[in-house]
Amino acid sequence: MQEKIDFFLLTAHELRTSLSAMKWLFKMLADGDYGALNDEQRTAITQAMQANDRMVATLNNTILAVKDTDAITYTHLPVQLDRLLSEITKEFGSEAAEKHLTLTYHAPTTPITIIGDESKLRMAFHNVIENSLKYSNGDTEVTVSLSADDQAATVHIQDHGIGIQADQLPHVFEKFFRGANHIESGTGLGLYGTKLIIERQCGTITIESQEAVGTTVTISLPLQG
Amino acid sequence: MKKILTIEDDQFLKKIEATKFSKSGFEVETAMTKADIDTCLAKSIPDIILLDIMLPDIDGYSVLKNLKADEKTKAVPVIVFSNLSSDQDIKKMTEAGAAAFMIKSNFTLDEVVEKIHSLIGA
Repeated sequence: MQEKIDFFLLTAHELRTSLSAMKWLFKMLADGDYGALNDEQRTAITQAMQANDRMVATLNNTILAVKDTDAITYTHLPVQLDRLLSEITKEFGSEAAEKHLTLTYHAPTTPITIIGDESKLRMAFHNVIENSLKYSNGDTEVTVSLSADDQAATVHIQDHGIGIQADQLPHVFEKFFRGANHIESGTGLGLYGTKLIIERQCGTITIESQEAVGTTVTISLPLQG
Repeated sequence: MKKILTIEDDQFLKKIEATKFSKSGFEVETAMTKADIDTCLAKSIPDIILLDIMLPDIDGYSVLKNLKADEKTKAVPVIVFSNLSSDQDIKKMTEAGAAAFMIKSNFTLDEVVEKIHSLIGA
């Protein structure tokens, strides 16, 4: 079994190399580093970038699910959560605009730093925000807000999308689970991996949802890790 | 002009990195093998190093250990820039003195440039 996992991880490394090249080139093209683009070309490149990001996210989630999670170690370093969420919401800006969604980040007035593993937290927040955008209806708002008390930082990600059926809500964090009303492609690994990441950092993740009204995901992380 | 040394074995990625960093106002040197690295460092000490882990004749960990053991290079910040993401790799490289560990496919080169600026200034 370990041999198969190692083979998969090696293959994932090779796939990431090609995905990196595409990610960098698409971004440089979009930025006009290779000459000015017309609107149609810019739209095409933006869509290619989004497809690339989806592939990277799928691969990252699959790597996380395939590994023996007990063996995964987490770094315990300061992570400036307000900056991290600002970066992630910025990354989703063009995708939100394309779907006519407003993606709003309510940043705290003072920086909030926790002790944790930045790369894994990035993946977790990326998964949740991506889901909110995927399952939102056009012309609605997705909000990401961050606050903290003495003990913990709390992130709310709220959408006004299709929601989740009540009988399916208890299963959303299960491996390979796909909602009956899902309309987008996916692996069913995103929320599973997200829960693993949050709980391994002594945090909690909860989800409230009402069909045809929307979904709110709440992630709480201790300030001291 | 600040100087970056990128140590990277993939020719395609190396070329894209060099193009982006040059356009961002850096002087760029590239190396792939141990001999390349020694030649570059003998010529001049860069302001920052981007280091891949999988290299043809030496691994990134050994390169990092050598850099941190050498008086001339120990203060140079090293960003490990790899598509390996095992926790052992991240832990090992961080403990060996890496200033940051960035997974290539998770970041655009603009974000890498931002990280470089945050470590060595504009």
